[in-house]
Amino acid sequence: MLENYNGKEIIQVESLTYVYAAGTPLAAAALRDVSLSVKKGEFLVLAGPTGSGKSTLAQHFNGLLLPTAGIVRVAGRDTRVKNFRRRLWQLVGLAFQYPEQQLFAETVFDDVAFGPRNLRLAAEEVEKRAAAALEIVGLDPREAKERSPFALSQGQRRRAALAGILAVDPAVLVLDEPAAGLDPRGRRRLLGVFKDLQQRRGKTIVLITHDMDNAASLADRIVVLKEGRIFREGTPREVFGDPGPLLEIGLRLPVPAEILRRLGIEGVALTLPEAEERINEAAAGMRKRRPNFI
Amino acid sequence: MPGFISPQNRPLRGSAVDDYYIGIDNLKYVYNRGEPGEKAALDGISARVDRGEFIAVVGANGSGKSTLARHLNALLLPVAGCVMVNGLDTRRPENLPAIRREVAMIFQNPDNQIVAATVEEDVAFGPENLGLPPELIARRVDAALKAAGLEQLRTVPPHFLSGGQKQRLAIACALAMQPGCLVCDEPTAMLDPAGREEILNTLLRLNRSEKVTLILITQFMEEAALARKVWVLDKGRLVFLGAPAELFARPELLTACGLELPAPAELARRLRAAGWPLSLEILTLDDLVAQLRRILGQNPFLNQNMI
Repeated sequence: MLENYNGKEIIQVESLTYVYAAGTPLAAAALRDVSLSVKKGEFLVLAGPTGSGKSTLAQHFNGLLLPTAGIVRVAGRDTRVKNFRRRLWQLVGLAFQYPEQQLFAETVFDDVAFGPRNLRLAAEEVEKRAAAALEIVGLDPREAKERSPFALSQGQRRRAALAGILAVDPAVLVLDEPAAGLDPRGRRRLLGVFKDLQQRRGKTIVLITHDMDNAASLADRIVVLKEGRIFREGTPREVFGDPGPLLEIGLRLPVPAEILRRLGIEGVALTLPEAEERINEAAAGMRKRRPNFI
Repeated sequence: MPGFISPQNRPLRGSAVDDYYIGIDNLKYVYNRGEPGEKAALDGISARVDRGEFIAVVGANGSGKSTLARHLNALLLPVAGCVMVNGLDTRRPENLPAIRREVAMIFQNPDNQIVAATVEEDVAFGPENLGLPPELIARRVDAALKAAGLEQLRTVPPHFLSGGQKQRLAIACALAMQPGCLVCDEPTAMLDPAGREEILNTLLRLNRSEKVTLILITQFMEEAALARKVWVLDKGRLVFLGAPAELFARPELLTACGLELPAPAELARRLRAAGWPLSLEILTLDDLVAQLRRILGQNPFLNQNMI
């Protein structure tokens, strides 16, 4: 059934409002009249300052939170429909910040197999899925059967926790700052895994991040939230091509784009090679006028 | 890899260790000692910290950064070797109160460090516990709030603060104890870009104008670029100590330790390779932009308003 959604909207959010502690004196609107959609196979980045509603919005995608007003549809079905819940959890896998804090089983393998076992799959299929998920995140399935998750390094624990989500084989992965606290190489590798899942396996990825360099290099589309509303939306080139509003709300440009902006070179660079090329072009322009220039 | 350590930073040995503000001599630490999960975390670290210094500690996950940090105010004690703070050995229990007043810790998650109902009460908590007279407490709280830039927020409940403000509150709480040294263990890991800048600016100002010794553990190489000295840990060993420029001139060492050049330094390296006359001292985005502007200065194709 999901094939029908290829390139189409697998998540539709219409006029979503969400109020925490509704009906109490502490009621606070976290999302106000948000409408957006996520296409199947797309890599979407959700950005915005702390408290802008990113995580609240993401938790609506798998029904963990239900709208106070408005509708969220996944694969065409309203997330409020009770008998859709079980299917919804398989469709949309959600990784919170620091997911390794939720590891609990005796071995890494058992932890990863927990999801597929819960789906009451045959033992063989559980085994296959857990092993495949571990391989995707770069952990050895055989070793995983002998090791406690608590004997792993933080980076490995993070991968193990994410493998647990992948093992359920969701069509959509919602990831809340999955690389926070990892070292530079760990960050790069892990984010590469997600890009790969999108490009090679057609997964839909929703990534919440503060890191605009990652957003620039990974996203097909960026949605920026501010105070519970959609503030900006577009391709990385569109969003970073209009830096004023982003800087105003405390976000930053990716380093390559920021360098061009400060140098007064027109256009947007999303990667370092691109920035290098643009700077070299600017110099080539100078050489025409001043042959002695570098 | 002892060859990576430059001569002026050669490890110290013997009694010299207690002459320094903080001296670390052949420090070893093992988690779960004598149990099946036994794991060496620090393997013979020797280094020193001078008063007023700003040191960044970098290294891959599991390299021992946090373990080392926790030795600096005796949250962990050496399995072998020693740590001396202001001439006080961390292994002696009677030294603990003085050591913990001297060296304050700031952790990743500011929410875990808040105890009171308003910002000023939270800052007063520490000095009150010291049993100081109320006027002195009030003076310390005022000074700490000012140093952390929180004067305007003193009566606000902490849970109304942004991430960056909460982390500044944690810094103010530490400052109210008047420590000589702040050890910050990835204080910006959970913050958005504006919050990160807020914290870095606060820490830099404390180091520069209040002469607070600053030890910053970080995963962000662009934060390490701001320090006067960088320590690189790899599998529990100190494999480099020196200036950021020295470190960034050795990309092969960074790679071997699971680290990377910060983006501006990486772009400078690429441009240098393409023939641009850029100095090796480029560490930050500001440095790179300043040098490129100088070179591109009179380019008629650039929008002069932006320069």
